[in-house]
Amino acid sequence: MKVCFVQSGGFVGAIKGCEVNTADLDQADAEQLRQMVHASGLIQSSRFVSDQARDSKQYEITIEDEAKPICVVFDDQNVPDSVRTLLGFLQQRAKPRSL
Amino acid sequence: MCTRHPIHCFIPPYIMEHLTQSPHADVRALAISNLASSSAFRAFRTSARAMPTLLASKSPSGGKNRLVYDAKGTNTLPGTLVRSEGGKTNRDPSVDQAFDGAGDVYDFYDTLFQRNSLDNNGMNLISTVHLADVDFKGDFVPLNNAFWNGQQMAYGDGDGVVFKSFTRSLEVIGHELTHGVQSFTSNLTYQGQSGALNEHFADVFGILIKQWKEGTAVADADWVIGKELLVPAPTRRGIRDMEHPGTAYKDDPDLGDDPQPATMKGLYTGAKDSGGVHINSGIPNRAFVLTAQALGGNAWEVAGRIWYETMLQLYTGSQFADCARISVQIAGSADYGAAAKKAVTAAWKKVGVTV
Repeated sequence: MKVCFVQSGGFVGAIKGCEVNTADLDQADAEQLRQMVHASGLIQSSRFVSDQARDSKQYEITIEDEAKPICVVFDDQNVPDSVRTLLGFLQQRAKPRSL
Repeated sequence: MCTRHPIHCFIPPYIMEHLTQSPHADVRALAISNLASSSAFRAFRTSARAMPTLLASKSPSGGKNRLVYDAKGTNTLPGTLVRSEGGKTNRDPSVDQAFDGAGDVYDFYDTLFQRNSLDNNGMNLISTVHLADVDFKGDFVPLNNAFWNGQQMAYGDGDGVVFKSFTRSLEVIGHELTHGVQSFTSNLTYQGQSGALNEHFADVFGILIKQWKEGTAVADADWVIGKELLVPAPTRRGIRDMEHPGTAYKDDPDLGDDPQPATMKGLYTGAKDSGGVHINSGIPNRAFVLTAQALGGNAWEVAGRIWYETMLQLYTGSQFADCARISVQIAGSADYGAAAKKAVTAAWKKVGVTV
């Protein structure tokens, strides 16, 4: 399983991201990632971005597994509670990246 | 204005909704006013996008009315009311900065453009300070951001490592409130070039409010947004540099490299950041600075006025070319003259937008 994460927007507008592949993790970490993805409830591509908000941070999570990849985009105003653990895990690993 | 039941109105609501997105300012205003009187239309949630007036709460006095709330390190808005108009100063610097800054923004728009608050109708100016984020353990952590949510401003305290409190910077406060002004004027769609224009006007008026408050002439201006927000480091001078887009930070361990282009050659066309709204704003930002420098004096007096009038004439789908065309047209009017038109035209050409 591969999880790609991009954070953009916010007042600053800086871009950060990471890519985490279970093939590169030890068994315990790989299982933790799988559990977080499962607990997130993200099963189909979707977009939850506020029409009204300005300067909210935006998060893009792409999950590639045996099934078809899914890509979910949401902003700070629309973070599902079930995604917070996965989001925080990815944010901790995210580093600045170019466009 | 139609005050009858919507079913009895000649023009149905779905047409009136479409007219709220019209490229003509007076048509938009009339449509919004018409819809506001329709109680049936208020029930529609999507009307908030076409009708930001639904989200506005009006000041009891009809004029400046500031309310500052404290989220107390949680992620709940608006929080606890801690300061209101006419009330005493608070010992919390963030509360007083948000309060004073909102007042400066109100005074700027009122004094220079006779605009009574964001909606030109005495809308309350609502701020929340000490808003927090939630980490993966479910704990509250300081928010490294400030935003406008359609009804109010919200400010985080910063992590103390990269960012300080977001209320420290008057141009940030002005930036967020100018997003509010745009909700009631051009309402530029927050995507692609129109979104970059939305960001651009927020930066322009954010920094002009600061220059106006401090009496800084063009000759002495540095055009750097958000210096006060950052914990100092040799790799970063600010959040954005309007005069030299793309140079505000480089090889920064937390921010990376400033991604803003300075000309249309570097236009970002990807999907990140809602199609680059904070990225491509560098292009019109530089055009504004070049205009202000060519005209000299105080930037808010001529360049700022031209840009304010331009903002009022744009509509939801306006692109950079529309902004350039309209600003040149306004600059060439009898109010400003040939020199202003020449300056604006040259500025846009320099960044790669030919009128």
